This record gives sequence, C-alpha cells and structure tokens, in this order.
Amino acid sequence: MLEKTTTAMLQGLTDPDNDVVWREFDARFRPVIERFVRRMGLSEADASDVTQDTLIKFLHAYRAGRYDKQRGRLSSWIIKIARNCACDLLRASAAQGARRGASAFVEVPGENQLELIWREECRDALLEAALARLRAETRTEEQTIRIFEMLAVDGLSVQRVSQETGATPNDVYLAKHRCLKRLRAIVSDMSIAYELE
Amino acid sequence: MRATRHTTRDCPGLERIEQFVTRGETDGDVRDHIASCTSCTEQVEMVRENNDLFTDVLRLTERGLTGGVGETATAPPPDLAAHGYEIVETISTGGQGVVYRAVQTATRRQVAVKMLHRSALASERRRRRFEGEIEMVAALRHPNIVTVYDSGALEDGRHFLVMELIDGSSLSGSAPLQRPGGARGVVALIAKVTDAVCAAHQRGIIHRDLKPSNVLLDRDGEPHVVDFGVAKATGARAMLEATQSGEFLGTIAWAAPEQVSGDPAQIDTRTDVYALGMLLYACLTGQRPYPCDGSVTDVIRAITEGEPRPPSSINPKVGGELETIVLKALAKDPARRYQSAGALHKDLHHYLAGEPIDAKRDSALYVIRKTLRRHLIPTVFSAVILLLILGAAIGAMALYRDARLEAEKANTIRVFLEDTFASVEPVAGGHDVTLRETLDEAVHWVDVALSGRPEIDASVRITIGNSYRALGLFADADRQLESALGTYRRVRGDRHPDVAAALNAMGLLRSDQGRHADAERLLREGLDIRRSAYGQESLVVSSSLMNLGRLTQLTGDLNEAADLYRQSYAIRSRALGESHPDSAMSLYRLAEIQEQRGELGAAARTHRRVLDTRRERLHPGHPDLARSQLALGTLLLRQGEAVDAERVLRDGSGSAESFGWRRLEVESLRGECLAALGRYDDAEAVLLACYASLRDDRSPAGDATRVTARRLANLYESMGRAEDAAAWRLLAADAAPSIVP
Repeated sequence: MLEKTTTAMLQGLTDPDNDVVWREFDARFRPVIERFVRRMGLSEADASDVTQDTLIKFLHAYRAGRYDKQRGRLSSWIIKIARNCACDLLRASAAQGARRGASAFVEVPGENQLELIWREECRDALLEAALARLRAETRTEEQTIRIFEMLAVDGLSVQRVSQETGATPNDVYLAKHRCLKRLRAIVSDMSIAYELE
Repeated sequence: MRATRHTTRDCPGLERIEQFVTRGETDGDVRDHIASCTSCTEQVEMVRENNDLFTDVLRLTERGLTGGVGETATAPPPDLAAHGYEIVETISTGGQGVVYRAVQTATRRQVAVKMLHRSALASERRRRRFEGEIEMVAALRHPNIVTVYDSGALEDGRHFLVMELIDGSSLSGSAPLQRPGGARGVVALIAKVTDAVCAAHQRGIIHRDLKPSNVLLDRDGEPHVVDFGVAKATGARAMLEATQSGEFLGTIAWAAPEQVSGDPAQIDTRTDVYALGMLLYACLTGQRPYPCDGSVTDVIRAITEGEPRPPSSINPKVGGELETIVLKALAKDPARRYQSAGALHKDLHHYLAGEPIDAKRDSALYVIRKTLRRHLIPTVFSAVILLLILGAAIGAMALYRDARLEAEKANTIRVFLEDTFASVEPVAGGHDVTLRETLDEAVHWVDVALSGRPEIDASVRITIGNSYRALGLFADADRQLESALGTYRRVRGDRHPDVAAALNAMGLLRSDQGRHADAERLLREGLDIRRSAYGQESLVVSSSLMNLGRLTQLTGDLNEAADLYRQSYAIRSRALGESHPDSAMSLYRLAEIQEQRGELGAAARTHRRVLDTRRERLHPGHPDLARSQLALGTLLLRQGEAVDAERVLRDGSGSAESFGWRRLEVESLRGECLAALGRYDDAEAVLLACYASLRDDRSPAGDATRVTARRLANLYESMGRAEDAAAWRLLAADAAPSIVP
C-alpha cells in the first residue's frame, strides 16, 4: 500500500462526494492534531473535541478555497486552525476557572515551538502508523514481532526477553533488527505523507 | 588492512556487534575483525541506524501513546549490581531522570546515581556527545562542583552518572535570604558558585542550565554545582519534551535570551554569566526578575524584551552597587554582560571587600556618587545646587502637555537624583569638586543615560546649559543648548514651543556673550513661536517679551525696550494681578528705562509702586525687595532726598546679619544716606558693621565691599579725619584698584 501524497489527497478533498479521501485525510491527521493540542495543555476529552473542530473547520475552509499553497505549508495552516480552536477552549475554561478563583492565563507556545511540536507529533504519528503496519505485515512471524514488542513496548531487557521466550540473546537481537530494518523501510515509505521529507 | 568478506562462522554474532555499537565494549579481536570485514561493517552501520529508530520507538512507548510502560518514580530502581553499585533509595525525580542514593559495593562509599531517561539521550550522536562531555566533567575538581566519579549505560540503553553525594538541600528548597549575613551572605554564596562555574569555563565546559535546583547546599551551607555537561548532552529537546510534564515553564524561566531565541550557536560562557545573575537575583529577592506566571510566549517575551525589576525595589537592602552587578550580569545582549564568570567573580569580591566595583567604573553616575561620597563636605554645596537645577527641570516639566512623556521625564530625572544622592554618606577629606565638575558629570550622564530619549535629553540639556551660562562657561553652555535646539527641531519640528524654549535659552546666552544681533534673532523667533502656539495673552509670551526687552535695553533701544516691558506688564497684570511679583518685575524694568531716560520723577514713582507691591507680597529677606530698596534709595539720594531714601532703606530691613549680602548692600547705602544727613556717628557704625560682615561673607560681594570701604573713606573725609580716609581709600583700592574712583 502506497501512501498518497498530501498533494494528491488535497486534490481529492475538493470533491464533496469523495468520502474515501476525507477518511484517509482524517485518519492521517486526527492523531497528530489530537496529540498536538494535548501538548498545548488540553485534557483528553477537550483534545478530542478540539481535534474534531479543527478538522471540520479545515475541511470547510479548504473547500471554500481558502488554502493557498503559495502562502505556506499545509501543516502551518492546520497548526493555525488547531491553535485557534485550542485557544478558544482554553480561554473559555480559563475564564470559568477565574470565576472560581483559579489562574486565568492561557498558556500557548510560540509559533516556532508549535511548528517544532507539530513535527514531533507528525513523527510520532508516523512511527505509530508504521508500527501498526509492521505488526500487520509481520503477523506470519509471530515470534519475531513478539520479541520486538517485548523490547520496544514493554521495555524489557534482552536477557529478560531471552528468558521469557527461550530464544538465545543473539536470536533476540536478530528479531529486533529484522523488525527495525522493516520498520525503517515503512517509515521512509510513509514520511512523504506527513510532509516530513 | 584489506577488507575481506568472511564466512558467517568467523563473524561475531549480532549480540557482540550490538555491544560493540552501544558500549564500544568488545575485545581487540572483535574490533579488528569488524574493521576488516565488509559484512560486519555493514552490520554495524545497520545496527546504528536501527538503534536510532529504536530510541524513537522507545520514546513513543514511554510517552504512553502505545500503551507501553514508562519510567516513573514509582518504577522499581534499576539494577546496577553489575556496575558495582547498590541502589538504596530515590532522592529525587526530574525532567532528565531519577536520582538515587547508592552505595559503591567495593568501597561502601555513599554516592548519588542519576539515571537519565532514555529520551534524554535519544540518539547515537547524542550519546556519544554525552560520553565525551562527561569524560571532561569527571576531570573537574573543585570544592564547589559535585564530582562525577563514573558513568555508564544499562543494557536497555539508559545512561547513568555516579556522583559525589551531597547531603542537604538545593538552593531552590532553601531560604537564602535567611542566610547569616543577609545580602552579603548571599553574595558570598553566589561568589563561590561563580568561582566553580569559572573553573569549569577554564576547562571549556559550559553549564547551560544553572538554576537553583542545580546548586546543592551541604549541611554546612556550602554550595555544590551539579549537572555540568548534562544540558549540552541532552540538548534543547529535553526542554521541549518537558512541556508535557509542565516543567517547561520552570526550566525556561531560567533561560538566557540567547537560549530561548533558539540559536544554539549564540550560547557561550556568557550564558552562564546570565544564569549566575539570575541566581543572585533570586537569592537576593526571592523572586525572578520577570513575571513568570503568563503563557510560555509571555515568558519568552519577558526574557528577550522585558526590563528586569530592580532588585532593590523588592529588597531595599540591595544597595546600588550590588544592583548594578546583578543587572549587568542580566543584560540581554551578551556583549553588555560581564564577559566572563571570572569578571563577575571579581566584582562580587570587590563588593564584599567594600572596594569600587568595575561594573560602574565608566559611568558618570558612579563617578559622581563615588566622588560625592568621598568628598561630601566640600561638595555638598555643588550637590545641592545640582539637585535644585534638576529639581527645577522637573518642575518646569509640569508645563508639558504630553502627560505620559512628562511622567517619563520626571521619572528619569528622579531616578538620576535618587541614584546620585540617595547613598551619599559623609566621609571627611578629599579635594573640592566644583559645580563645574558636577555639571560636566551631569553632561556625561545625559550622554550615557538619555541616548534614545531625545525629548528628555534636550530638556535636561537646556537646564544644564542654563547652569553653565550662569557660571559664565559660555562654550559649555553653547554646546548643550545647540544640541538641545537641534534635537527639538528634529523631533518636534521648527514651530514647536519646545523649540521656543531652546531658542530662548540660546538667545540669553548670545546676549551674555555680547552677540546681540544673534540674540535678538533667536529671541524674536522664540517669541513668534510662542505667540502662535499659546496666543498673545500667554504668560510664556510675557517671559519672551521680558527677555527681548532686556536685550534691547542693553543695546540702548530704550523705546523698544519700554514697549516690550509694557506689553509684558499688561499680560501679567491681567493674568496675575497688578501686585503679583511677576507683574512687579515688568514694572521694575520699566522704571529702570525711565531712570535711564532721565525721567527721574517718573522712575521714582514707578519704583515706589514696585517696592510697595514687593513689601506686600515678598518676605523681608527676598533679594527682589532689596533690589527695589536699592534702586529707589539710590534714585532718591541722587535727587537729594536723603531723608526719604534713608526711610526707604530702613523700613523692613530688620537685622542686617540675618540676611544675605544684598541686605548688606542696602545697609551700606543707608550708611551713605546717614552720612549725607550729617549723622556721622550713625553712619560710621552702620558702615563699619557692614564692612565687617561683607569681609566675612564669602558671597560674590566684592563690589559691595569696595563700595562700603569707599563710603567709609568719604565719611572720614567729611568728618575731617584725613588719615582714616586715606587708609580706607587704600583698602578700597586694594580690593579693586581699577574700580576705585
């Protein structure tokens, strides 16, 4: 499965009936936006609302022809929308908090930092998507993926994994690097979709 | 050595390769083999690249986004038995990792072990940098630096540092202001920290993350700086990562402007100087120089743009010199800070020893204050005069319509005055500082402190220029007034009332210099501007009319002068009333003109009017009252009306000793009147008393002294005492040979 470039996706988005592209876009950017706004200090529930808001606003604005590629990257545009949505919510809750006597300041990182956070979140979303695809692809090699997840997700040491699975340490390293090699390929294949190239 | 492809059987397994990559640990054979084996070299390269990705995956799982486990304070401590340490307990957890109390198995020595989060060293490159940096830090030996004994990596890739254990608290958890010795105690403490930082700088190590929590205090209160090299190794990413845990604000609040601007190339030893300034500030005041309770953006803006609150405004015990040291260390531009920790250390020691600090050596303000402090008794006169001059400038500013600017002006000058005079302490001895020197320093201060604030600069320069003019220092006055005039023309435009004020001052200077044509041109331009700005009836216009009148009076155009004085009187009497002292002054000048024209009767009448007004409105010692008495008395005496003259001079004169030299002039003239009336004994008593007082008086009364001596000579001549007369004539001649008739 080849990732559609963002440009190709954007073309599809102009068609109001093309649900498939929109779902694809949503799947790609929803997790990024969600984490991004969480980094701005939103709770899980708020982040979910703000993300929904951001995506809808983006789609409407995009279909209304308000995205001009000459004026900046797509990510910068999404960052702005997400930032505004998050700020609205933060302000509202800060005002509420102020009425209860809490601090009323709204803490939002600067533009450069937001870009940096966005890139980090894109990278993480990409990595997560890549991990998911790795799992799907390597299902046939149950033991290999299991060893890898014990090391990567559970954070166990090689010794521990070796004891638990009965594989030799060298086999554990083999499984780890086989997965990582594949993961690298997947990541490089997918990066273009997140404008990370 | 030629690279060859070996069979798989010869090659070390992936396990050995991984160990080779992550810990550089392997025996010589394996290393040699890898170097000579293409297949293994490729493997090493692959493992490196894979591991970089693996760290990203680990970071992702640590953040809990894929449901993995992270490192937390409650997580079981790592097993360091293989490295020779037993973990005893957790001491603290922070953004970079967890610190444990541990025991070195072999020596039973207590140590501190800092486990860095995996994410703190998220790439191979960063790990290598960390190892290099720690090697240098481990070589540091300083009583105020926490010694690093050892470092290493766990199997899972996490790195740790083994350090000297400091039992106590960190600076952030202590109350430094309660330290013995107050502000001096704080300075002594920070001086030690500064010395430690200086020692590290000399070995090329920049801390980059100095903050209270990185200064540990042992049980004796001795400071120990911790975490040298860690910030460089973990980099800015750690700062961003911390956003999540809410530590970002805490970290960034201590950062220097060049650190938040995001250009790592700008970070150098002066970044640590800034941090030391922050520490000093925090310890002296218990606060940060900028408000840190806003958003990250606000905090960054405060760091890059905000002016630090003066520490003395929070803790009045912080004196001017200490404040200068703190603020210099906190300068936004690294070039304006102390250029090294050593320079800061030196000044802190100067401060502790009560010696002059370097930070202010070149500042006019500092020089004035130091001079005043050292030589207070002879300079108190100059100081008071300067205070009055600048105080007058503040008063004059009440006329400015722009309230905000006015407030700023007044405040700037107030700060100057406070800075200059607040800490003056009497110290005997030393040489005299003249008013001229004081004014020169004031000019220097204006040059330094007021650049970029042209309105205030010009306003103060006019005051200083006027003062130079009053001292007869025309060239100095010229420079200040020309500068003020130029500035006002540039920022205000040619027709602004401020320009008129400068023209006026300039005109008076030209008049004093005898350049009457120039003076008239300047004064007329000023008058014209004021008329169109304020209207014909304005009091400011009346002042201009008076100045112009004085000039034309000097040049002999008496009709023009009289006309100008009349116009001025008309404005003033309408606005202020006829008996107002200002109205009286216009009339007084008019009387002078009448006298000059030979209209003695009219002049006497006008002078009497003025005198009556002044008697009514001014206190008995006022010099204007004495002036009026002198003018009318002299006039009446010239007209042969000695009785009347004596009465005018006597009335309200009170006791001569209690007033200044003008009162003595009045008394001296009264002596002449008494002599003219044939009351020689009275005249002798009055004139001798006057002469004695005038000789004692250091005021510029040379003329009055000589005139009194001459009057005594004339008196003795009239009394037929020729020898006495000759002696007094000699005394009069002695005082000023050229003036004696």
